[in-house]
Amino acid sequence: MRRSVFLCCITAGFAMKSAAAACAAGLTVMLAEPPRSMDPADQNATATHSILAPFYESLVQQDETGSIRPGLATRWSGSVDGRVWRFTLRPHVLFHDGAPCDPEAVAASLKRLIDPKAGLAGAGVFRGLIMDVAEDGQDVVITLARPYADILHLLAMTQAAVVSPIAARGGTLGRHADGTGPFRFGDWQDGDHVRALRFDRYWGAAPSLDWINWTWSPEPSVVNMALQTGDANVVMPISPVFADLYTPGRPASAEAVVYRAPGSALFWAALNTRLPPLNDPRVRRALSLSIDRRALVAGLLHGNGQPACFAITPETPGARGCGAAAGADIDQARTLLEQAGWHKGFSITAVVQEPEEPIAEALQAMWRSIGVRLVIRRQEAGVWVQSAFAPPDEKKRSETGVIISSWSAPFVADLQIRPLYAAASAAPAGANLGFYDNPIVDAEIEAAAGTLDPIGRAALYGTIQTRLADDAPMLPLYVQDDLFGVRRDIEGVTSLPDGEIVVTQAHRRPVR
Amino acid sequence: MTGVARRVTTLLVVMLFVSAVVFVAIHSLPGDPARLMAGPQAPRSVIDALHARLGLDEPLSAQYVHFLKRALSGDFGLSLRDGTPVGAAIAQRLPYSLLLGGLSYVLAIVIGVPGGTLAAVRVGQWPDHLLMAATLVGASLAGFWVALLGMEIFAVRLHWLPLMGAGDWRHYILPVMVLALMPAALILRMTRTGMRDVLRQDYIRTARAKGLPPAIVLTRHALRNAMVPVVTVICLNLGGLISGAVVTETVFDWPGIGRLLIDAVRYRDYPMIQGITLLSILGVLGANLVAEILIAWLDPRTRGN
Repeated sequence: MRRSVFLCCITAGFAMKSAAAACAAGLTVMLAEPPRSMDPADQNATATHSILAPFYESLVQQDETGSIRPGLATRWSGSVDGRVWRFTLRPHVLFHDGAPCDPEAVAASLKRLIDPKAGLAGAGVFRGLIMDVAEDGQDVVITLARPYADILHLLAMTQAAVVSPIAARGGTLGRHADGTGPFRFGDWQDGDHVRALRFDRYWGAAPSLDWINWTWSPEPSVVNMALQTGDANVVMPISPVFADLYTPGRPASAEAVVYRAPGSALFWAALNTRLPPLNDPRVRRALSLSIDRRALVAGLLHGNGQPACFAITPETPGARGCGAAAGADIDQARTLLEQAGWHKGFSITAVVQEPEEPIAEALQAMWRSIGVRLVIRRQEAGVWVQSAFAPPDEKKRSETGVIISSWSAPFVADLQIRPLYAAASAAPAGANLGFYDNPIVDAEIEAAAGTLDPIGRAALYGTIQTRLADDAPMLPLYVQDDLFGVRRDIEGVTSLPDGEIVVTQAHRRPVR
Repeated sequence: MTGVARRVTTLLVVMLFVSAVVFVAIHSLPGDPARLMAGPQAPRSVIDALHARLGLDEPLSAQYVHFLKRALSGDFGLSLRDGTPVGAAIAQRLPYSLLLGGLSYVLAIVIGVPGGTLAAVRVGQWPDHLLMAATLVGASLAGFWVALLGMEIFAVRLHWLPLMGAGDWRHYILPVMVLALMPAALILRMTRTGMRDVLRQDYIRTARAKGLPPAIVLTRHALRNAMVPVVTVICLNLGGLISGAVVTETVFDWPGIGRLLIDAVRYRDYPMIQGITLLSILGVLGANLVAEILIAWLDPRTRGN
């Protein structure tokens, strides 16, 4: 790798001045939003995950297929009951500040994550599950409060990345990243960029890039122009509206390539199960049946996605596909409404944020065909959060029947179901926004999460998905693909199903 | 001296009053910063822990008292989002906004005042029609759209100008022009109207009758008097420079106060919103003061007031 870059620069140096400039081994990546924090445990945003990935590593890591691979731990094992997990750490790993990444540091990092006094924004799924973290020689031993089949996937998440104990004690992590990753923190200029510099004492293969510059713009057309002009070498995401500009033969295709990767962001409409007539499962199923999910994918995503009819996303083990149910069945929907006594139709109100408004408009048109009138209330992010997480009586007062949003928790079925459907997660405590309450489903969620046997777990999740589709407290709509653009002189860029862009192994094509 | 002291005292009282109003207004905004930080996945326990960490679990009155104590010593607190001192974040961004806004206003004045004067002198003739049509277009076009159009033409297609960011002088050209569009149209129309009124006055006729060169009549006698309403409008708009270029800064990825404010509002970063809002109010009050001084200089008749 190093050799090709070296040859690249030598060749370019002799050949042409402009090519030599291109050999400056750095990369500018443009995202849709700025980072929330440089502390991996204090954020929950996909764009921030992308920016933090080159700085930090976790005990284990997962690839784009969901396979678990060694990270800071070289091997691991779980007890028979699935409650005690032992991780053997990789030796001679250093934090960017020079401190050794030993079992004590890893244990301190995980203890900090679950410490209620630390009040970290990303602690949600870990607190209450991880009961204890201890060092044992070169090992770290994690004890869980209950068996959890997907614990390795949780530990691979950015929030569980290991942070330097010195930086954590100093309280500087929010502004200054300090981990063990192949890039160290350069600077973060608010509103402009975050710069990562190659960490020369990295334990693994050295990246070919000298630096990564992260920028951001909320405006999709600006992101598209930045890719065309070369102001950004990589952009994520690129709007489906602009993706067609890069199809072979069109002028922009000479500059960059747009890649499509299966995403995991499941878009849905949550129904208020306490508000008549949505408290009747037949009405909810009628609404679900009247949705043409294929049309949503074609119209709103320009084909860059797939219809979703069940609660679990396609890349997750045990997920079920739509099949023929992706289309609408208006006759069946009308029959159900008639059985429920609502054949004359009714009116309901949906609250959405601006990006989801086109979904609401599409549903408005589709539900009109069964006599249901959807009133759309578009709200600013903070106002929407207030409306969406309101308790039942407030939602009743405001007549909020439908909440449209999306959710991403790749590979971990429990994180796709428990927060949205478990009775204990009912708003405002959690994201069960429609107050769905089914003790049978609750018991099955617990059983599935603790079932270590993959086949048995998949079967349980199959049952849960069917039950949820019948009860229809939330209407899954589609899963959106991730689209990212890469300049033609860049190679080695990939994406993960949670929308994270991975550029640590990127390099420039050698000049011929 | 008494006048200055009175003005400063008034300013402080206004600031104190406004700070209380702004504090209550900001905290009344729907949306919980902890929920926005932690995301929808976060359970209630995490939200509660965040409230405690950020000091949001205290009564509003206690939070205001803390804010006021800190503010009096020049400390506007820490950003809820990333713990940055609000004063430092504003100080980092302010020069970018002031430079962008200042340059755009200079450009607007350079276009608007001579253009308005020319239109007034040539009223009813083709320069007047042309300039009026131009101002109509300038005032009607959405800055957002003009910005994207300019980027597409000059950065993407012609490669003459950089697309975005705040680097060298070339980065200023597009955003300054876009931001100057509306005020230039406004100033031009105001100047034209003012000049038309003044040019009909008896003292102008007298000046011409005395045989003064037309240029002297225009600049020394007419323009100075016509400038009073124009200066008022310019100064009132100058106050909004600090946070007024939100759209332009967002489109051009400009690291100014406008974008900082947008992000702060999005994440309900109360201390940051409070700091920027107070700075904006200070800017408006300061601009009003400058307007009064300039008007008194331009029109001595107002000095007694």
